[in-house]
Amino acid sequence: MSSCNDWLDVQPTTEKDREDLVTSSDGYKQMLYGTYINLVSTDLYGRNLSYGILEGVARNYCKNPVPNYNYLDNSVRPTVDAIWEKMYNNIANVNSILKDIEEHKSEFAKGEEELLEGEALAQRAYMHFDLMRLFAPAYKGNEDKIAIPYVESYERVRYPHIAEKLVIGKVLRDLDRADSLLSAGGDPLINGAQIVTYSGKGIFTANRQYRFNYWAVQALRARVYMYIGDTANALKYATLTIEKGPFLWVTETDVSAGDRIFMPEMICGLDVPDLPNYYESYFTSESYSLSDGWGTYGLNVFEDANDYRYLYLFTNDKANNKVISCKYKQTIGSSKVMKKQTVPLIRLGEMYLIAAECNMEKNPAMSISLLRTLKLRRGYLSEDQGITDGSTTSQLRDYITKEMRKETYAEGQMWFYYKRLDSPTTPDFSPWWSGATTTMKTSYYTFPLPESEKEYGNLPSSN
Amino acid sequence: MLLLLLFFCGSIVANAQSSKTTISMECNNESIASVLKKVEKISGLKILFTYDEVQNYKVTASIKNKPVSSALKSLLAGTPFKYKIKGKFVNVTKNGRDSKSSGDMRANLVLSDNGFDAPSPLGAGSRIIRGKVFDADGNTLPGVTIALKGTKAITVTGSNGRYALSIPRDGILEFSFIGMQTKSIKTHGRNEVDVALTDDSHAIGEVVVTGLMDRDAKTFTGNATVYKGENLQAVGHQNLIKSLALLDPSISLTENLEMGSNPNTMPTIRLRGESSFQGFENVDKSGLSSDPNQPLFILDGYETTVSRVVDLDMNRIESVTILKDAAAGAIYGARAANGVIVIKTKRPKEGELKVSYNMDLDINLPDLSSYKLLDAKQNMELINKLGLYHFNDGTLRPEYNQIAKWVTQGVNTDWLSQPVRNSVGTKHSMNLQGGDNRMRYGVDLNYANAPGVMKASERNNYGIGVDLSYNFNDKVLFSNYLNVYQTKSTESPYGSFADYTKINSFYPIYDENGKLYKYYYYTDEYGKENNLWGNVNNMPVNPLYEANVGNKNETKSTNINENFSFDWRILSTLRLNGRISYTKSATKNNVFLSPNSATYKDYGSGLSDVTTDDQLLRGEYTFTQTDYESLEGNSFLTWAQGFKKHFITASAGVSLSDSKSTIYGFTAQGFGDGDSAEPAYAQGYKKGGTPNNSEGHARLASFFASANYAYNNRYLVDVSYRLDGSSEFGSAKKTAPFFSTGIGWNMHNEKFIKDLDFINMLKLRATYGEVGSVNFSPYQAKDIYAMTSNNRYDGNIGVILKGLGNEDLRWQNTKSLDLGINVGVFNIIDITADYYRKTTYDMVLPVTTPPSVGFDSFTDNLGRMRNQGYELTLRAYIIKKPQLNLSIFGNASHNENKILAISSYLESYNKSVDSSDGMSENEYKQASHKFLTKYEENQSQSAIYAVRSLGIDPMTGEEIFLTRDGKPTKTWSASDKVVVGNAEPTMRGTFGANLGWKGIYLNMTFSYQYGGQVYNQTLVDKVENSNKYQNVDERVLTETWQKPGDVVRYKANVTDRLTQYYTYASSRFVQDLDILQLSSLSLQYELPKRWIAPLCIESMRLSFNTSDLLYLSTVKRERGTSYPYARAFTIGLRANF
Repeated sequence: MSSCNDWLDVQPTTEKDREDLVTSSDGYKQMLYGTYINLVSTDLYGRNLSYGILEGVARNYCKNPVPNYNYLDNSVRPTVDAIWEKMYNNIANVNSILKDIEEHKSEFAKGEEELLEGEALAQRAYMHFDLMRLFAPAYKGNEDKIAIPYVESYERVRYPHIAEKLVIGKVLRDLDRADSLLSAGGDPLINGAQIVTYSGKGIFTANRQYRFNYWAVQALRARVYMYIGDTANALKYATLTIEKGPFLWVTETDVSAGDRIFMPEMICGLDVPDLPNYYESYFTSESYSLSDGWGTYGLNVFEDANDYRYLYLFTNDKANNKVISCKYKQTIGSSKVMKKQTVPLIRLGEMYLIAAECNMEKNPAMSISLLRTLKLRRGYLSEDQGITDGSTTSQLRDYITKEMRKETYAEGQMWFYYKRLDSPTTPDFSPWWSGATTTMKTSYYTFPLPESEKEYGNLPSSN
Repeated sequence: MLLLLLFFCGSIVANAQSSKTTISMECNNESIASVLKKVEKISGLKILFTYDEVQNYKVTASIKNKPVSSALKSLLAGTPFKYKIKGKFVNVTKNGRDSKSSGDMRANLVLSDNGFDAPSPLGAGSRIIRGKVFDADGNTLPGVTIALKGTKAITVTGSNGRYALSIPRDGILEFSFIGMQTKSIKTHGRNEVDVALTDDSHAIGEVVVTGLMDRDAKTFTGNATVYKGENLQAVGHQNLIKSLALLDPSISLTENLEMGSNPNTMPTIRLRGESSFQGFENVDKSGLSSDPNQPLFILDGYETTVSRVVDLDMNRIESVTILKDAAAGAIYGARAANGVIVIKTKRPKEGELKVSYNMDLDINLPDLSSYKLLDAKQNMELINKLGLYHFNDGTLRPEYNQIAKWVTQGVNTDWLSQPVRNSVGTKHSMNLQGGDNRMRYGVDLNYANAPGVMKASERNNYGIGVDLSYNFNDKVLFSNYLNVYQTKSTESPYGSFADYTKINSFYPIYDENGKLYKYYYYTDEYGKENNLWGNVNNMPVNPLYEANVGNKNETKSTNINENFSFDWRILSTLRLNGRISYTKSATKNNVFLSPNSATYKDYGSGLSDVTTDDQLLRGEYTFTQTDYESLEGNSFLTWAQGFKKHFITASAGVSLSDSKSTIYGFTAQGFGDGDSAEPAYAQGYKKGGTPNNSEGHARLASFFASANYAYNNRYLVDVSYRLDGSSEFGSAKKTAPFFSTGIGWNMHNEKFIKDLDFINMLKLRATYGEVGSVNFSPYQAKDIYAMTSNNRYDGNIGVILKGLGNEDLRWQNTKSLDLGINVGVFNIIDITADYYRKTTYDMVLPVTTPPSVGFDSFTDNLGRMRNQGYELTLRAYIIKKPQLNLSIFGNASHNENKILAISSYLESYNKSVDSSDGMSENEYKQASHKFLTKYEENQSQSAIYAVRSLGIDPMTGEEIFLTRDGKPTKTWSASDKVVVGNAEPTMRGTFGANLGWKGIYLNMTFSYQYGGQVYNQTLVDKVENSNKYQNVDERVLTETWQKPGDVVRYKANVTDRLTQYYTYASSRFVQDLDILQLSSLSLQYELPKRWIAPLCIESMRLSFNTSDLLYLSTVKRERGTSYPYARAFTIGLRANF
């Protein structure tokens, strides 16, 4: 009877059966690479969660893709639904890796299983954290509000939607486990010993910045603690990353040579091979431009024409009569470290800004120093880098907001920043009416759940 | 074997009644038997002797006027025989034996067997009748049952086909044999009756071919209908499926209004309704059918495709058995839920080399009668009426002048006739066969060429088959059939027929220089060519131009089938059968889109948006290859034994199958003007495209057992069980059990019915059982990852989950009940009636999951559906004479489908049909104007949902609807949709007549259906929703609302240049659909032997057949929208040499 069952067990050849994949470390690696391929789709970080809809609603382009922040509009709904669907689809892919990887530890070379498992856990935490930031109201004051499901296994089970507090607890728990696994696995990036190569094909430990590495976990912890207002811990992990991490400031030579991502500063990013196509098709349209018409628009935001982030990262698209970001117009090989078409997820600048924000009240001098360091590295020529000595908290807040906008432009973080602060307005880039703003409502900061999630999901009935 | 016990000599001597009579005779070395017969004749006595005893003795004697006793004495002198006279009887026995006891004992045996109740052991007139039984080809037939009607005298032929039977009196001898026509012969005092039986092709089949074993229909309780090859050919030569649908009420072919008579479109065939939701299953790629509701086709024991059946040479078909119920289908377990159609092909017969040849000439005429379009003048009238080419100030647009010019020039193009033709196809098939008792051989060759009525569309077949069989010791029979065939199908380059129905008749085909127009334009005052519609994207293209640019769509498939089987008679009661079949097929599809195609927009200067890049990439070649390979084997043991009145058949066996299909394909682009349609000329792969490749692999392992018990041929019981293991089931449950039981009662074998002379058949049947269907993809039960070949991460290939596997996935289970009755009365009328109820449980359907699970659905066993109905068949042999026979037949079926439970996924599908979620307003309008199927519980799957309409308000021309609550409204809303009809007819079937007269046979078959409804999409698309800039149905002109007071059926719905108005699903377009069709009319003539014998032809038959000659329908709609229907005429010739 068992031999009969074996005979009836047919294995596909153009597709792979999970039962087969889990029998080798190669199979697990393919499953892991698959999750990154999901992440770089245009529904997620290949577009919408980096330079796409998120930057649009942060008012970093001249046109808001969501008219009146009505996410229920027929033109917006599919995009929003796709983010939810694709994220959870990838979470299922990640959970499928985690399901029984520990039972197959013997298939792996030393340390590889820990690295792979740690990466998967960090990825799961990263995605759930972003899902919560997108689909649940800002954390502060809503800690007990039912937010999203935290899906921890690959099975046909409807995970309950849980309170934000609980989601954050699970995010941090996964990050703790990722931390110890990546340490145990000996992530080469811990000490800055990296294998950097154009293609990481076949080398599992290569190009660690393009994966959820040890420092990505630390930086993400800083981002999470910042989001929930735990400044002590946010400062702890931001400082740890700044001080112990192997990340260096980018030089003007690199930037002018085409390193538009500031590769030495990238803590974690994604390899998006199709980025040139995306750039061509999206940034030439009105929706992704700073302004209708070309010129020096944007200087009112970037303040100093020598700021690398303005000088090298914006261009006049004369053909289309627009000012556009050229952060994603990347030329391979133009820099020693610039190896890939890259969309960054976390960069060093954000760590400085988090540290500055955590010190804003208790240690303004430290905050000023951090801001000045950052601005100096961005090519500011004035002695104080435009940061007045003895700045007040609100002045500091203003500086941080401005720098956050410059630093993470087209990277999908600004809307979360506004949301975290429940900012009553979002500014416009429009040069015509300086300081043009949109009045925000709290509801504008929350994406709606897909109808099918509301209908079939495991939501508490009283919600 | 001592064949013959006793031999009675009949006597008809009138004048000699006494033993005292004297006789005179001369005999010279004559056999005793013949001498004794002479004596009997002269004396009038009855002489009883044992034939076997006397046969070796001869006598020579000369007797003159001697009394019988002394005459016998001298005749038997020198032989070991003695005689004894007893009244009118004389006993001749061998010396040394007690003649009395031996004779009496034997006589008694015979008598008791024959039930003589005469006081004398040798009843008056009783005698022995002998003879031999042959088949039509002169081979002797063993096992034929011979019975004297009205008595209990019965015997069977031996291995040499001989028989002998004691009969008490003259009467009618009935010779019956499975698969042969029963023959009745009056004895008329004869002692020797030789009989040739002919194949039974008219009566209901007496053998049920289940594909695994042959069963005697008399003791079978399942619902199986058998059709002989000749029956099928009598109703048409086109293909097997068409003929079956005309003969059997349970089979229906879905009218394909779109593809009409396209020879390359396979029919949609249904047996007793549908048991799956269409479109919601993930169809098994490795399976043979992409249609989950199609019955299973078994050809000579192995599973095959509908296209193979359509292409099969009808002359090769021996019989087709349709297994409808669970009892019949249970032996196919998980595949049998939609019924099973078992096809058996002819095996070579013993004898000298015989050659038969068949030729058919198919003439197809396009049937365009359903089209009622506007001619150029009417079209102009419409344009004027609607002011389509008027500016707002009433002045005429420049386009108008161009059109008016054409109309005044008298252009009135008959576009419909442009892409069609009358086509003539031929079919040839030849068969050679022969051999002896040991070795038999057969070779068949066939060629068929079926050109369609659309120009250059074609389907060609050719094949060869070699059949060998070897009989080892009369114990084991080995057979092998190898068949290789090729099919080539070509789609018409003329494109869709719809293009010709839409193009306005005022467009000329050629320009002034006699060149084909590519598109239609007008030249403005600056000499620039301008679009006639003023809209770049809607430039009217000459469809004939597209036909001539060199587009191609060809499919070629090569198939090899090898079938080996053996039949081992271990004992007379025990047989072992086995079969292995291997099938391999390769199908290649080439599609070429010419770089000159009008698909590539090229409007010349000013209108062009074509870049150089686009120019280079024009032309596209797509190649797809599908390889299929399957290996099937089965083996089973059958035991059959009778004990007095009990008869038991039991069998058990195993079967295994492994089938695999692989699809490869790519698209290349960039062809030059004169380049061949070969990939070598392409510039490269299609931009952004990747080669594709997919694969499916399935295995099935089964065990089955069945038993049949018959008591005295009156009470019948059938049970069968099958255990299926399939690789497609979830890992948690790899095997599925199926069973069936059946009971039957042959009432005609009961005494109280036998006494009623007018009833010759009365059988009651009931069966119940479970069958299954596995119509999901083999991998839905697993967690399957897809490779991301064209997306890499950091140079690495990754894998991504395709879906949420369900390891608990099971087969669909259909519980089927069938009650039936077979009645035969007056030897003239046969009636069969059946009631069935099939409930499908555990339907494989998607289950909606919240997207947070990672996928929007997974596949599970949910949903229930029921089909119930009845079938009725009647056949009456009105005249049964050797030179003239006439029979009429009719059948009817009724099926009722009811959805009992649906899944959440279907609920959300239903909602999406009615909601505008995620759709733009225009998309919603478009979607709503189409009638979309919904699946609601307690409704039929074929229910039609629309908003009830009160018609067109004569004052405003607007439609008035009824809300769900019955309130009139002018606003259409999807939530007001209710069931307004059902596409399933109340009753459908066929009827007709067969007439045979002196070698001429006429068959006429009508099909009918009534009681169903249809949503007349033609009316919607061609009248109300039509684009009036194109050609439209004439009802636009005559029956649409134009001014207040018009009482008409269609609202004024004018298309302006850029906006399309839509008519929503409304009950106004639901019409009752009743159809009467002369589906087949055929005439056959068997040429008299004396004409053809000099040509060394044994028999020759000419036939003429027409199909679909007449079509009457209550609904006026366009039939064959993409490919027209054809009326077919076939002239056939069949000769045996």
